[in-house]
Amino acid sequence: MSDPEFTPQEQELIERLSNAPHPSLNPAAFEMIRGRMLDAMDNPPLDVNPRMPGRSTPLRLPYLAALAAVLVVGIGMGVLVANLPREIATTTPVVPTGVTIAAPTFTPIVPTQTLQSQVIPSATARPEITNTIPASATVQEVIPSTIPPTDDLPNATATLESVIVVEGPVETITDNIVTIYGIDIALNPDDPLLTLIETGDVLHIEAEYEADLTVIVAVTVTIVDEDVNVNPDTGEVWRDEGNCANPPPPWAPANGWRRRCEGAPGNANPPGQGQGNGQGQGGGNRDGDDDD
Amino acid sequence: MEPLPDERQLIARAGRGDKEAVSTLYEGYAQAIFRYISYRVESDMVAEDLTAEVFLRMVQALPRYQDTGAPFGAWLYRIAAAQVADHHRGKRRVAEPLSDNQASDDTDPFGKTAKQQEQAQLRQALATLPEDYQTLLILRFMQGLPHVEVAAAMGKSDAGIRVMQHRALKALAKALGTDTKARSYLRGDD
Repeated sequence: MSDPEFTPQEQELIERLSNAPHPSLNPAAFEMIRGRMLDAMDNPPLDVNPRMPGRSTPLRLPYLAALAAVLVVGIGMGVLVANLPREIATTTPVVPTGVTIAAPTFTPIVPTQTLQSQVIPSATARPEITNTIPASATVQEVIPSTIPPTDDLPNATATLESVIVVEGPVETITDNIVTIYGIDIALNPDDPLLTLIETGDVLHIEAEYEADLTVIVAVTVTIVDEDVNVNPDTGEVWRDEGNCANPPPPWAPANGWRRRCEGAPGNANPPGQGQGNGQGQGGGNRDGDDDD
Repeated sequence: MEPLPDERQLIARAGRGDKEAVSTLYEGYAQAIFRYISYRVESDMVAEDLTAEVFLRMVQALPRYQDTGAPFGAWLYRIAAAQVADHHRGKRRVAEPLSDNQASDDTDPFGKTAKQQEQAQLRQALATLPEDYQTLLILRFMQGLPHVEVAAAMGKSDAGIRVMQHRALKALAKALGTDTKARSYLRGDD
């Protein structure tokens, strides 16, 4: 499968996969499975792996229907209770024994003198108990039960940002615009990586979509598959080309290159005989693999 | 995978209990499903057993099958993936094998050994990857399915599959010990 969306290394692996042995059902097994399948059609119910072997299939439907009915009734009652006026729900259990009723309703509120003075004038439903206990019927006057006006709520949708993550091979590069999967993404024209990116490089780009400009603007750009170091002070870029002919400057970690090429004095080892494996990760601006 | 001729009609007939239609669907998809499963489990014998389960479930579910526009093969692959997952979770009793199978068209013992080794190596490497990666690599590159069909089989978006395939390939290269940089270095590609 030769496809420009893959790097040569990926294509090599893809070729291996596509040429992998294709195991096949032998004729005997093929016919045996067909026979089992057709037999199963003759012998309903076709529950090949019953979860509850002791229960026959016809019983399941009424059982499920009954369960559904119970759920519906339960949910309906829940909704009804939830919609009852608060006044009813709170005044019903009030019994002039005082202590037991008052405790749960006032738990979150410190029973200060101020609270009492607010409660008493508003307790009209049961005037006989307001003199002795701060009845629960009055609590609702203290605790605001209304929903705050929507104007007070933060407008969440207005503050959401459109963040886009694109990862894939670069198809084209035009000035500071790179195209990945047909998506044009603008990089900072001063980004030193621009001088380094080549068609076919796999990039991981986090970007923002600016509706006004109708372009996607890259926020962070990472070359996924290449060992690239960028000097954060000068913007100078060094790229590991996979051989020893291009030594890194002193500021570049270039771990892979150094492990591979500095193992022997003067690069005396010919390729393939060094001790390193060439897999070292560059430091600096690389964020490492993303093998989730 | 190309749909079978008159596939929709076949599916409708199969859903009504037409054995000939069921049999035709089975003939069209059995080998592909077996190939997919055989790279996801430890042996061809287990793959045969799971393939049988997939088609038994197909027969069960066909009366309720609804054509959503996704390829029928994708639906079968989803059943197969679920069966494989069940198998690996150990919730499933391993039934007695149907046969002692190997590819029967291979008469060259040396070639057969090499193929078996390659298959075993790929199986082993794939088994170390996340389930999604395994399914993607098998369907996309071994079975040669297009992105859209792989996406339908995996319940993901086309774009998601395009991104995931690079990661899956990279993970497989590591699992196979064929990291590309190391290999090019060892080959002397400098």
